Amino acid sequence: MSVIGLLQDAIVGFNVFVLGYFLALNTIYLILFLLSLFEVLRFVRRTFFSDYRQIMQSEMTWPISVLIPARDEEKTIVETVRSLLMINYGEFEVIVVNDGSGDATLRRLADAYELRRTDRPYRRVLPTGHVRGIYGSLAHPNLHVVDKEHGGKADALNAGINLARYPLFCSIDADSVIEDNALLRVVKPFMERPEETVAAGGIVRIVNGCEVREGRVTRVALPDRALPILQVVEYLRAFLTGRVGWSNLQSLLIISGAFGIYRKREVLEIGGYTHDTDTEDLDLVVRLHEHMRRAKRRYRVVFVPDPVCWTECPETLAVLARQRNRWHRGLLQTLWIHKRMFLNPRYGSVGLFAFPYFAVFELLGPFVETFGYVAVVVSYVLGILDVPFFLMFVAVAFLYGTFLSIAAILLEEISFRRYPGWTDIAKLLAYGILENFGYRQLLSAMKVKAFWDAIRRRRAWGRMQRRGFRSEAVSASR
Amino acid sequence: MRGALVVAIVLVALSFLALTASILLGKAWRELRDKRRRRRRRALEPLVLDYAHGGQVSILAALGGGVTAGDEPVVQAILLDHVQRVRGVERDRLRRAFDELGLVDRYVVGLSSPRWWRRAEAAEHLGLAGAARAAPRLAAALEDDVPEVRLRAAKALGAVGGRTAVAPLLRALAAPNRWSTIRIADVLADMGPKVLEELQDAFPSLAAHAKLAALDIIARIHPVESVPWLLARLSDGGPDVRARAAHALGVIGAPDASPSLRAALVDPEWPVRAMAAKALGRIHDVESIPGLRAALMDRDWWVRANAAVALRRLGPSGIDALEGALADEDPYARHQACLMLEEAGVLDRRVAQLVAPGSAGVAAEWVVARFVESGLTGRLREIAATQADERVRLEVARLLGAPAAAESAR
Repeated sequence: MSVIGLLQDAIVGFNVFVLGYFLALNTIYLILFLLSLFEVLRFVRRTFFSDYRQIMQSEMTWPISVLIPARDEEKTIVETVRSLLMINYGEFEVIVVNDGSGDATLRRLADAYELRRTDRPYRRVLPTGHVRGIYGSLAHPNLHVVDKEHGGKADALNAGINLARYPLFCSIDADSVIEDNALLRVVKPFMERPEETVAAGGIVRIVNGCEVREGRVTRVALPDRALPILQVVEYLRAFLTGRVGWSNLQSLLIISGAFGIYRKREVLEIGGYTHDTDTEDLDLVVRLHEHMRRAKRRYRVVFVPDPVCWTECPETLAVLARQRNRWHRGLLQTLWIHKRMFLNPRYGSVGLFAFPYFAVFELLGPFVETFGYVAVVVSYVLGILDVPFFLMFVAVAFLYGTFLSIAAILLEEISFRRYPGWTDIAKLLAYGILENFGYRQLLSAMKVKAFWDAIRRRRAWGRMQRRGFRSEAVSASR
Repeated sequence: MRGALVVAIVLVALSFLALTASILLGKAWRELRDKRRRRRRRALEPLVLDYAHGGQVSILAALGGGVTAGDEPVVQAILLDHVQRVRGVERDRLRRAFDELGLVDRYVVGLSSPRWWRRAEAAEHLGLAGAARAAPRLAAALEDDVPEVRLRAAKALGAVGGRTAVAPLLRALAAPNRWSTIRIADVLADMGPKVLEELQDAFPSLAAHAKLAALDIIARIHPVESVPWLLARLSDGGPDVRARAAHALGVIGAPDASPSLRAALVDPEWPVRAMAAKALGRIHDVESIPGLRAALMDRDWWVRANAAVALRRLGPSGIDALEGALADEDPYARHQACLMLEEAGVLDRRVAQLVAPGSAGVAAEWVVARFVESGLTGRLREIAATQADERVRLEVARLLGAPAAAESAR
């Protein structure tokens, strides 16, 4: 058989594989969507009867330590802390960990909240970098600031855990704003099943384009630029039809670092956050699963669809590429470190469903997609491309991708309706279609690059360029 | 294969169109409906309020003899909003309006709905409508399969004045769901002193966490007559019960409880000692200063911390005791006293007095010197660097024993 013949056979074989892969992936997406639809409707009905006021006022509500790791966050840190200090919750403390910032993060905090140095004891239960000082606020007795040498986000969070007094802690990114009832909503699973719940996460939404005043999102609107809007659609799909579904299957592998709440006891048992991966949030949840399954303890990791946390998303391709590079590297590192969980029945649904899904579809999916495009070109050159079949396949793939995005928007519309304007809905629908033409392929290429970087052991945080929250909508300042 | 793809394209395209249409049509329908309701509310609300203020003898007369099907949800929303805001005669009139409009009958039917959220909503509305005649149906709803319905029914039953709700609510406290426990506790606490007797009678048979909730309910009701009963709980076999009883006594603020709480400062379990210290601070029991001073040396941090907070709450004599603890042999007591004096701003005041003449200056120097000895000098160093008064900076630097700091302060 000639080389060309072998190549033709290989390409035909690859095309059959792609077809099967496509069918399997989309079946999973459909199942996740249906599970999410069921769960979101149930959540909305239950939320109506939640009596948050009573929960907030009760002394029986568990107190929470809110941890904010901050490095070079001078533009947003004061607003973020203000939004947290005003939150509806009974007993809580806010601990900002200044992770060796090179800018005026600490000074901004000191000026805004009348910080002064205290001699509050710092028990180094988890190993961390050197702590230079601990500050308390004269204006807010529940605000504390840890000033430490730079050690990375995981190190900063561990320092926060060391100082935290309460049984639950919540990690929040310094560039995020959370809604009034967010803590009450996300603590609910811990209160309902106190013996089992070890971690809970909430939906993260994109703040670009919204109006923020006094640490509050006062007007929700979509950004003007295409790139952030595409990410809004992507976040809706990922959170409303992805994480809700995985949570329903008791296989949630990730709680966003931007907003998650954990029981301190279990996190201390696994040694806190580690520096082994570029995505400490993913790694922490996977280690919690591993620890609890190995110990044969009943537990659950929960995703709550609506304790809203608003966060900035990248507005340029370069920053987006760095962010996604880190996320995908982190996924690869975490799956590799915990590879013993892959298809291992000892780890239940996490080992048997979530791990294979993340390895085969999330990690390797971009390769399949990218090589698929290459195979099409090669097939065309070799004259073996069945053009009508190819076009029909592309039509199904793109229509299905659009269907999933629109399904996420539908979930949003029948439940939370955070984007009230007709223009916003029209934009979301339009970008739900448009994201299939270029954006999705771009993300795949970024992930392939991330895979390559991870193999070459290149690690970089991929820093965001903060614009800071504005009292005007983001669009107004452009 | 191509045939299958064609079918797939058609199916997915149709699904896509159906989803898009449902988003757009759903939004349009909701907006039109809400717009109409807002318009009708502007027209109907003054009529309902006129009735509530006694301008009309009946709600039907106020609304012109009847309510159309389209206006009914609007009138219902107005009634539900206002019945929660007003008291007295106006609330009674609004509650009668529910009955007159046939809403109470509809809510009673709603209690039998196959959908749990409709049953829960019906129970909630019956409570707001003060529908005493629905009490037997609400009592039956206390056996509903869904906890949310049971809770709403119990709350409604409490609102319509039924002591019958107390026993089922106490049973519901046994559920391990803390979210629901808090809400039940809220309902019971809102019912006031009338629940105390049954609560105290049922106490021995309650589950462990329900006992703690019961003690918190009593604390929220603030009944002075329950103090002897709470004092007896200080001898309970369960440390958590003793701790919550101490907490409740502190919240009630009964001075009679002070001797027992002082005795609880040496309880073998730290949660009890910690809560007793906190309670003594709340009661402002100056006689407890020696006990609290000793609690500063407790082996548990929470006890030390609460004792320090309690001493601070006792005012000048408590602060004097904290300053006295700076010379204590026990390093934990010294440390805790330093932290509390720092937090209370006493250290800053003493530093400012360093350059004062006479005994004030001597006392200030003694306090600052004890801080330096304790090693907790973070705040002092900050003052040495930032104090506006150069003389104070120099004094602090001198006491810190840092020539470099003194030089830089100069």
